[in-house]
Amino acid sequence: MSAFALILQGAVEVVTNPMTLLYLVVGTFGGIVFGAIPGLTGALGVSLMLPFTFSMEPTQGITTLIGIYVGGVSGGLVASIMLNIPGNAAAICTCFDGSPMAKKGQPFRALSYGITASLIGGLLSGAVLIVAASKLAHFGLLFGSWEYFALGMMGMAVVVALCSDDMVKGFISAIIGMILAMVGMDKLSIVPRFTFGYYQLSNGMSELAVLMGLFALGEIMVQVGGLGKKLETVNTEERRSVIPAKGAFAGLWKTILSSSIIGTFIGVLPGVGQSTAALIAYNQAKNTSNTPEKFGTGHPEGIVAPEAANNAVCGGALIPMLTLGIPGDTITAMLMSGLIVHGLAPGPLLFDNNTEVVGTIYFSYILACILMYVLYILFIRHFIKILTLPMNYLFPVILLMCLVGALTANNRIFDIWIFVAMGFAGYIFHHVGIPLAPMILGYVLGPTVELNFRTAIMANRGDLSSILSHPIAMGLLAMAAIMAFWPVISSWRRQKTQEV
Amino acid sequence: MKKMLAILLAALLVLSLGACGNDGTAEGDPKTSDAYPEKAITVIVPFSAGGEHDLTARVVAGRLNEMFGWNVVIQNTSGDVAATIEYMNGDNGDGYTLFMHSPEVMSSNYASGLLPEAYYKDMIYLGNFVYDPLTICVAADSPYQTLQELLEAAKANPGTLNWASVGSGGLNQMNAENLWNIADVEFNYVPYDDASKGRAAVLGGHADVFHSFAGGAKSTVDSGQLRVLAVGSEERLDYWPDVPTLKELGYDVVTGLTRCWDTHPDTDPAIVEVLTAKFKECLDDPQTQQQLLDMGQAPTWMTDEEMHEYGEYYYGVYSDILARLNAEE
Repeated sequence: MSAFALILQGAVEVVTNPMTLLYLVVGTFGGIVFGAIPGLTGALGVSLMLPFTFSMEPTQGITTLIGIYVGGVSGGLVASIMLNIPGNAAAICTCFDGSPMAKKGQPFRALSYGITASLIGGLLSGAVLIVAASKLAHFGLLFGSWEYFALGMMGMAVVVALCSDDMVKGFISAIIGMILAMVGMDKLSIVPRFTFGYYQLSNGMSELAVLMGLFALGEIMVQVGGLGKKLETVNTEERRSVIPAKGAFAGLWKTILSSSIIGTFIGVLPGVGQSTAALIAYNQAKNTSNTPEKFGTGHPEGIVAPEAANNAVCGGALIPMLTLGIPGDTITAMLMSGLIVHGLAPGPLLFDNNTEVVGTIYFSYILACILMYVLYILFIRHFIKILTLPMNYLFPVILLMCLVGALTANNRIFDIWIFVAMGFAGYIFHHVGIPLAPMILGYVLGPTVELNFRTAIMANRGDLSSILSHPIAMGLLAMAAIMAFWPVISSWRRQKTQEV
Repeated sequence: MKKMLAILLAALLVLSLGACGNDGTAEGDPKTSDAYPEKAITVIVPFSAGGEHDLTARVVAGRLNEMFGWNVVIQNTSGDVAATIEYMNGDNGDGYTLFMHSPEVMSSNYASGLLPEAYYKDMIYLGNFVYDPLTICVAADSPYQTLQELLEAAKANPGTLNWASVGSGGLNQMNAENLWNIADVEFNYVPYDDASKGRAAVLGGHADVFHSFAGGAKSTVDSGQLRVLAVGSEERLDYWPDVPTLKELGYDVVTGLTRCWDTHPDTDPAIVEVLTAKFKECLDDPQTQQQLLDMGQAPTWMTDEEMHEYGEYYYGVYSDILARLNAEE
């Protein structure tokens, strides 16, 4: 069945069924709210909602979950821009430029860049999903352990770009992140590592607790220093709309397009995820920008790059799920089980036997992206009021939400202690000038690099040189090297042009 | 009016006191088990939402709620070793907090020293829901059409074919080593951190054999991307009538994973009886069976005794393999 016929069938399925449409709207809105509140994430929303979809019609269930997925990934940008606290891991990079722009009195402008980039990234990857799903999925299968290892190394090279001012502290931070990720039962050899005899630690440091501890609790402790002070009033001169002004996107299309491609591509590769995509896209935008020095000061390119990339991952991650039955990230793994429980196993058979399900997924994904944009336009006035709230009301609520999120993710009180400990650590790191972004990169990518390296070595019976016969891996490693030495290369190039 | 209210309140108080007293002397009292369950039953599933354990648990919970009007709630957590310790250390003997953990996992964790002997011995298994047999799969374009051909190739080049599975040193590797032992062959064991990554590796030609539970391989096999050469169940699976069992092929082993709910050793035996009976009734119901089969899970009832025997058998197997693996190192 052609892609067009599929999406038409999905459109009929969704539009003729008002309940499905309603679930999609509610799911998308719920996703945005979950994404926007630090401590609650889209992944948490999907895992909480998943059991309820088991009793729904399969298409209604999957539609609800897709709404939460799309809304949840993009929702993180609101907190990043407004509070300098990322709403989820995918929105960490959005803090870098989103928050400075909001502080300069242009929160609407920052939000409009982020939201519009999310829409475009989501739609572009959706188009790729519909047109080229099966071809791309088979491309993804070319990636073995060596290739994932090399991709992880490429992501790690971003550390260099993230902290070009103080490289040593950047590396310290990345290594702390990698060590944090190693705590717990080793996934390959079931040996507990760094647990110091505490069985509670054998479960590892949960991602939500680590992330929210470092970023939310740490940032709150830093900002609490200014408690009681009146917040900077929002510039009333600004256009109070998130619909981008005419010409606002001039010169940004190249960044949005390349970030969307990066995001879609990373989505296709199972297990890499939104936060890595956003970081790589941010780095790529900075490296290829004409004005790299403006990054970190509220530069539009620094907002659109991560936001286009993280939403593009969603469409990309649906590709291996639908065509091969291999989930692209943790949320798509849950979407899959929402289908499996109804006896609909994702994979090539779905395209033969259950075209209405495939069509519904296509259509509801595209519709969710558009709905997300519409909902932002309708409700952003209320979100923006957050800025006028005094911190002594806002922070306790955020803290409570973080505690709820840290607890709900694993139903384990111990994770709350991890959250608190990471909060104090984040505060200390802030004061000794250790940047947090490389830590998250180390935390997220450390296991990718380590586990794939070990698997690759084992699959090749200890032969390290086997990587030489993997051209994709070698190519990615070469790119990692270029990225790592880019600051040196570009300063050398600048010198040369000055000499001429 | 006020008097009436006072009397009512007093009556309520006495009644609730009575209820408390009842709780204290509940041990062995048939009345408690008659009224069981009086409130929601929580089942701790130490695996993430959406996994095969979780889906099995949720289907059974949904059927229990529909059939008996119970309120069974699934609570996911992660890290099965930590969760087992927490469950066994906790005050969970009232029959309202159950746990999802399989005897062979317990055996493997006990054999490798991660869990103490008392847990292994004392855990009460409330019957078994499904048996998910191990399957041996190859990619559709692989040259090996039968298990015989695969094993002969492995014999000709010992330790060169890549055997993709999840994690090393645990249940999966010991099951693989056990099978190789029985067949007298040697593969190169390659652990992945997640079953779907192992599957992707085999589909992409990075590994030769995919060693997976049937439930996790079913959709990929049914769509023709993977070819299943053998299953580790006692009898052929209803949904793959053409796939031979290992036993039929001459390898005397039944290998796979039970998915069941357990309860704390302190639980009142009368409640254990009620739960076991109701679970059996639920599993015998055709609708439950159909829902489980739809997900690729084969309903297979076992009693607590059979579960312990099964665990005992695997404890022996795993101890031998661990001793051998340690000797090699």
